[in-house]
Amino acid sequence: MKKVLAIARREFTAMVVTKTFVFSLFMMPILMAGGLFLIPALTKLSGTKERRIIVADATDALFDSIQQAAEQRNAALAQSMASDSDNESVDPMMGAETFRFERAATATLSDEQRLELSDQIRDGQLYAFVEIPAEFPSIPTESPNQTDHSTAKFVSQDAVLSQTRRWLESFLQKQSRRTKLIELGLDPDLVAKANVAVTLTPNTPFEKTDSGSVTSKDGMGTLASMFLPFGIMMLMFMVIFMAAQPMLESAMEEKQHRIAELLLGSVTSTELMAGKLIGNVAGSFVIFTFYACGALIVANKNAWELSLDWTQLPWLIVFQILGVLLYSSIFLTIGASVSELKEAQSLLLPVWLLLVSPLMVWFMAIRDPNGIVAVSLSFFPPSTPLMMSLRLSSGQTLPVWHAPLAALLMLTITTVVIMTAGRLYRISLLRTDSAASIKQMFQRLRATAK
Amino acid sequence: MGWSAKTTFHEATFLSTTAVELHQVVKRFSGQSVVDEVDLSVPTGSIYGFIGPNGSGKTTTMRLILRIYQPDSGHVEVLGSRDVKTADPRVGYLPEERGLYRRMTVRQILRYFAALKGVRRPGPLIDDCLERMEASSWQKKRIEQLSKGMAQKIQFIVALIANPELVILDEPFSGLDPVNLDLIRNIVLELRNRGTTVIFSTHDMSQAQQMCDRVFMIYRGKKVLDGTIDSIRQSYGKCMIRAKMADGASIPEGLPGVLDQTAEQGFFDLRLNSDSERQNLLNQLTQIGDVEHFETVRPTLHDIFVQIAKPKSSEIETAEVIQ
Repeated sequence: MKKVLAIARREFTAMVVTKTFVFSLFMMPILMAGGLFLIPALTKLSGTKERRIIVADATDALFDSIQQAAEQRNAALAQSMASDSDNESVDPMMGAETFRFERAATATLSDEQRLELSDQIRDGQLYAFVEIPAEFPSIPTESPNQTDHSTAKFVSQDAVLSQTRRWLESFLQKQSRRTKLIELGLDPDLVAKANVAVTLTPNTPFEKTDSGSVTSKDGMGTLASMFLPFGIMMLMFMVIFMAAQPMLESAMEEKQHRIAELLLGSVTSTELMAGKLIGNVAGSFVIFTFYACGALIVANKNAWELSLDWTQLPWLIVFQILGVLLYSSIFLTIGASVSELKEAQSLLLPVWLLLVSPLMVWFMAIRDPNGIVAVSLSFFPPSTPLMMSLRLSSGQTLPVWHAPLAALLMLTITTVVIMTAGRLYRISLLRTDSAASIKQMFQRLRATAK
Repeated sequence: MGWSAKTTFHEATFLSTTAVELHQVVKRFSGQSVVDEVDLSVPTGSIYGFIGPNGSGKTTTMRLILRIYQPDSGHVEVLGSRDVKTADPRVGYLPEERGLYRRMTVRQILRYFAALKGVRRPGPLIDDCLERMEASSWQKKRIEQLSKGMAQKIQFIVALIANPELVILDEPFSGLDPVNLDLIRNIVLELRNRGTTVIFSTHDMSQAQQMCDRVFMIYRGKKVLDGTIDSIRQSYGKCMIRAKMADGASIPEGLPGVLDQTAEQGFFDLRLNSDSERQNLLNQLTQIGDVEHFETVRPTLHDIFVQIAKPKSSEIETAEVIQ
């Protein structure tokens, strides 16, 4: 056992006390959540830029209000950028562009004018031009679906994805609705009152607190019930990913640099593999603790209420250990079976697909944690760690036997995989050739079984 | 001074007569016998040389002794134990393919392997070993900073770190400069003097002849030689005649009782079927002409090796046909 612990200690040190590990530890969440925080931050950093848009307003009534709305938006954006605080009227994903609307020389455009303005767009002198027809907005005389008189044109090089087009479309929509209501003899303010949104507040089941009062969580719970389980599933993914990868590298290093034979002169292959896996699980706890503590600190700082049922934590730890053992032993065997990283990659692809399969259906699973998809993937051992972590943190009551059964199934499969991997590891470690496919790996197993 | 000042004489094991015993051992890979019904008995406290051409089964035999491989049939007994499932800390090993963790320092490596061998508080022992190997100044260097020869010396220390009773060295002298070669050779001889059993493989026949008490040769998985250097040379020497004819006359091939012959500077080395053919051969040579020189020669280990491992003419012809 002392030998196993000595190997575990070395593996733990080799995994955790490296610049690459520390770098990955910090970079992984940054890369994964980067989009949410990085885009607005970069937007602010790069400052605002002006977009010039020509408007040919055949109604002769809309241009002034467009210009006024744009000026308000520009002012709100400038304030937001200066104050460093989020202004709700400015959507950070809409970019940091200010709009300068200019009236076209004529209310309607000829083809020559359209070509000339298009050339300006291509030259970069102009961002876009808009054509609003004279009948815009008019009340359709026939069924609304048959003829649409409310169509204006927005021309730019990125028209389909343009955030400016989306902003202008939203503004014209409001204007159009108001005008049409007036034309129909309806009071827009009364209609607005009649259109007051109905809210069906999402609430969790009531429970009795220690003080004896009966409470239920609402509001924030909607978001938390979706993103907290997803976050925990991602945490599980990162822990398994970051723990399994060093196993591949470790086995490959020992094979490529001919260290394996020296080790096998001192310990058995079983002791070697056991030591590696124990060291790896210990390393995975460092990752788990780092991210879990980081998440708690961030949540505490932002006063987020984490609706996590802490009684599920032991199960999360069980699935983390089993997940790390399962994938690390597979990675270890692949590392021992090949001579080059390129060969390992083709063997790793199906393993990755198994691991990430719950990530592909997480949205469906979180909407119904006791549904067929979520339950099936919970009992499919390669996807159990991720799917069970998602379900356990969903806040929904799971049948009491689900977690033990999933753990039992996974324990059985993990044991079989470790034993098979152990044999393959022993066979492959001293071989100089590669098993470039799963078929070849099983052929090796069969050959030694004879 | 022995391997290190703190090493002890292996008295307990020395009392038993054999350190390693192989009985009818067979090891197959993909259905092919790499070691085929090999018997071997290595006396305690001896230096045993493993010789044989590349791919003949030397390393596999060593791995069988180390329990890295388990035999398909037969049994292996090492230091009185037939337990094939655990690595024995009393055995030190230097593999032919050498490697160490490149990012670890020399001292970290030695501490790690000492721990794997169950050595408690290895610090003073490591200091002693490094000093003995003239490597004390390297202990804080990473393995990747060492030259090939320096790394090989560290691996040699790894093999001996736990003061083993049996040391198995696969090609220990390859790649060493003459100074380090002498250093390691002296340590091996000191180990033997302290009662440690040493098995080493080599392609350098003069090295084997100088150092080994006994030699074991394996060829195509089968044992072809086993015994003391003297007895082997003696047995081959009886059948080997060196002769020279007067006036540089040649000796025709295919003389009765002669298996094969080589010629060099007028001298002919003739290998006979058996000792009894010597007188017949002399009679035949005198019939051919005046015999200027006729002696029974004792072949070197090199000669014996070449004689056994040299491809036979029929094999060369087969190889050419295949090509």
